[in-house]
Amino acid sequence: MSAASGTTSRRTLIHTAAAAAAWPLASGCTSPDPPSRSKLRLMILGATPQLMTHLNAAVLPAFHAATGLRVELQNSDWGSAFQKVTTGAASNSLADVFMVGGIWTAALAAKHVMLDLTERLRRWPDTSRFHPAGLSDGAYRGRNYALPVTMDVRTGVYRQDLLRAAGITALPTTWAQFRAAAQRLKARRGMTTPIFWNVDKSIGLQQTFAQLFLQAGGRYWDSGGKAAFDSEAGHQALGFLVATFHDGLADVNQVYTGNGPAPLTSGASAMTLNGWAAQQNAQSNAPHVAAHIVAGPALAPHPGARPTPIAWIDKLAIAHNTKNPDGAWQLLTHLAGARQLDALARLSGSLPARSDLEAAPWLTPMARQVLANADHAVSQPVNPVMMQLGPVVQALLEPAVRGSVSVADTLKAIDTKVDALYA
Amino acid sequence: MPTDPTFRRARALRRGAAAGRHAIALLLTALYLVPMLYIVLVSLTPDGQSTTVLPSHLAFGNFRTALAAADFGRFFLNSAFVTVVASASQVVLSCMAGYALARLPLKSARTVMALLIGLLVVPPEIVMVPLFVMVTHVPFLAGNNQFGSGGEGMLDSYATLMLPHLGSALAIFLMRQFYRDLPGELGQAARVDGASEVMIFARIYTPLTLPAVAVVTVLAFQSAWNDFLWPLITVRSNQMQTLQLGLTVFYQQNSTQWNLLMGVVLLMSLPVLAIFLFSQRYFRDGISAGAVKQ
Amino acid sequence: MRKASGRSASLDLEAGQRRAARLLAAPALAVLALTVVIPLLFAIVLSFTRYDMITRPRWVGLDNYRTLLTDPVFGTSVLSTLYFAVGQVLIGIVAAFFTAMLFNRRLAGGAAMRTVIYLPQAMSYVTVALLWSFLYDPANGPLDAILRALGLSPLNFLTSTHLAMPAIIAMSLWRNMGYFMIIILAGLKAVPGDLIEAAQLDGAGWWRRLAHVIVPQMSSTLFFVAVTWFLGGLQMFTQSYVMTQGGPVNSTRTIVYSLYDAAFTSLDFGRACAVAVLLFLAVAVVAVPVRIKQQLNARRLRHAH
Repeated sequence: MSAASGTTSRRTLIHTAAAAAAWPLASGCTSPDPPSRSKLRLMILGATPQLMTHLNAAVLPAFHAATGLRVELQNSDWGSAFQKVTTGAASNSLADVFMVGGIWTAALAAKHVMLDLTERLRRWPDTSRFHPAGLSDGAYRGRNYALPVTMDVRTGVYRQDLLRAAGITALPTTWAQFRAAAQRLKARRGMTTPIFWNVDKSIGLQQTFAQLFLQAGGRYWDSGGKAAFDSEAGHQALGFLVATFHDGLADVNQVYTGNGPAPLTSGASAMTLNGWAAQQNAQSNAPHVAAHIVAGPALAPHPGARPTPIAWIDKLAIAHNTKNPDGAWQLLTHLAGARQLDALARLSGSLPARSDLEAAPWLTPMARQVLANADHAVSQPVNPVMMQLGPVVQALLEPAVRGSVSVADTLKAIDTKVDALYA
Repeated sequence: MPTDPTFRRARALRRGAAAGRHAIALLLTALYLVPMLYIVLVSLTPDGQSTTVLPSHLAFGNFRTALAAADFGRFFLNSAFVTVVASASQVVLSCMAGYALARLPLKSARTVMALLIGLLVVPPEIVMVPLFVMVTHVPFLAGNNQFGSGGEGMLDSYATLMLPHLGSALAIFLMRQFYRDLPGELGQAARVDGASEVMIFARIYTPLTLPAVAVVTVLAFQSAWNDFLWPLITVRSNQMQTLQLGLTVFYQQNSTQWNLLMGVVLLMSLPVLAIFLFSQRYFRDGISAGAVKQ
Repeated sequence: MRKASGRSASLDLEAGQRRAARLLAAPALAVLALTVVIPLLFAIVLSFTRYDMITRPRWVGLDNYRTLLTDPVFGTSVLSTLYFAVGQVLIGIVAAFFTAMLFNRRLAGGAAMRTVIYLPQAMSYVTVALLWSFLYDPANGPLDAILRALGLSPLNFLTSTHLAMPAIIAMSLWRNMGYFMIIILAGLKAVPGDLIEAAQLDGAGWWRRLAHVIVPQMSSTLFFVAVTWFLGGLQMFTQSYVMTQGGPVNSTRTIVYSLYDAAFTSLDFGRACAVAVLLFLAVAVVAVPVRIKQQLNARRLRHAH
């Protein structure tokens, strides 16, 4: 060991000791600002940089000028958002106003995380502007907890140019037509995977099955509260889904990882059950394709049956423990007002959940097709176990579409597992 | 002699073997270098272009766009502050404790060592959940009452971000191994000259442990700088976010902006790479001391 | 008189040393107690409760353990974790050993190449996992693009139940091999050259020198590497979280993934703590005997000298 390195070490030691001395100072500064009545916190999920800028530069200063309330903006990605909300609620650090994803309502309401908004919504004149499906998606046991802000409605979505090239001019309205179109794409165009079933590394497959199941008239639970996937609707839906994989119309290995162009954008597939998100992906990855992506009519399981579009709705809610419920309500209604919501939806790349915004000039023809389905759309059941149900069902569906477990056994297993979630 | 055919064959064989070794080493290096260079290429790919073919031009503007997407300056300062303080704490504390265990008569040294060995194998994920519960229930802080409930406790603070990285059983263990192998005469001589025990620790022995200090510094720096899960669950506000959390701004609901993400990933790795390269020589000696001498 | 004062001086010295020892050891031990020991004990207590952090914990006895031990998905996650840990160590130790052998010889540019191999260690798991999920991507990733360009059918790295875990093992090896290679390299340098020369003079070929001289000399280093790497493998989480979310069909769901899922998706902190306690016990079963054996060996060695 040379003398030189000894000196270095001593210097390092002194420096580190100095830094350590700064430690008590550091530990002194906890939360930047304690929560107070004149300050609100707003948690937005998956905000784009443009939306953040718009909120910080325009919306929130205007809100401050009007009400004297300052708003601190928090942003989280969707992937970890539910954990953020639940741990926030558990530790009393949840934002006063926060976004609520598709199936979160019941899970959060059952744990008393959200403030009951029923009375306030009844008195608010704008309430009637929101789609009934959106409002009921934010309600649990007859009480309203969350207000819909943005939504997507899923029906058959197609690459019209590829369909036309295969000689398909009328968009499918039933499952049988959907399947026939896929077979034609395979035969005429040599497409290896005409259908993309939204398989991702999360619960995309389960969401697809859920849509088919609801279209087939299925209910998650029977009147006695027992899981009812092993039913006629369940057999129809899963049978239809599995057959497309079995017959080479869809592929379990075609997984969209949120990375670049999705299968419809790249042209690897031409049909899917999706909504505005499909065209969004094309707009950001291959703009010249975007106009070819169209939303078809909602699908019915067989001719004569009621076609059912499925809505996914993002909502705003108020934390149960907020120090300033009235201020939070002011903020919430400010954001959900027609003018603000229009900008919010546009900048976050989603569609507004207000019926009076359906004709907004920035909406593409496809977006309008999607919103046209909103009025009779159905959303996922509102139930506290929905959050756990997704991954559980997803894990059981994966072997089924791979053909390693039969449809009947899968549905039985789903019922057993879902019933066990209540234990 | 040089005309001897066996000798020539042996020499040719040796040369062939050396060339073969070199080829394998180069191949192995390429296996590492190519993915790393690929990150660079992706980060320079213009928006909307495929990442499986060469980009039409290099979009250096991506870095500016990426950095403007969130308050990365603030995130950098947060990460740097947390990392520097936590690493410093870990180095100082483990030097002190390592020295006490190796060179001083500590009454319960044997128990402490057994305990340390036990702690060596506690994965950070195991204590994460109870630690989270604990920091939210610190009494009298941020709205908590004397029983530690009602408020949010110490969430969303620098202290909480640093907490899991302040001390490390492994660091103490490494330092102790290193101190133990230093000659005892150094201390005896200083004692005869009237040096105090703390002086002997700070002035005589510690300067000799540079390789081990380098190891502990790099390990601590790395674990604090790269931490993801703990900040993910304890940070609430935007201004307390660290760089690792800041990355999530590029995960949009429908697609990920990979070129921007990779650009920030690249910039983010630079400080750790710099520390790594800078301390590499000491690092090698230090890390192997712990392993080989046991 | 002189003798007595000498004794008291040595007693003073001893007392001073003891005081210094306590003074120096206390802060680190206090920090460890606060950040590891108390949380660990707390986890044990919580594992006997049902606790969602919102309502008060409720004592449920061994319920969490019973649920876990009879849950086939948890069983799968244990097997997957072992598959990962064992697979990575077995391949890794051979790869790291031969790489170290390679760099133990004089090689033009050897130091630079060694550094490159060692660099991924500086990147976080999140970063490396992001990079590799990109490389493995079926639609836009370069690996499948290369396979297609060669006229081969693409491999479904992360979507096949058989390939997903090997793909994650490969990625983890890529990140970790350099670190263990460095340790083994240091061990190789410590193998006495005269032993190898003697074997060479006896006419032992490369393979026999390796098997009969080098590997036995390296046994303690290799053992250390194997145990450390294995224990690290038991804690695998980030790779699965980022790359596959535990799928497909739970094939990459690990023990720590189950822990995270229980705690932060289901808000079932009691069950999460039960997973933590089980993992800790498993790790302790492997690690503590190993450490004790090492301590005994070291002591015996010191006595022998």
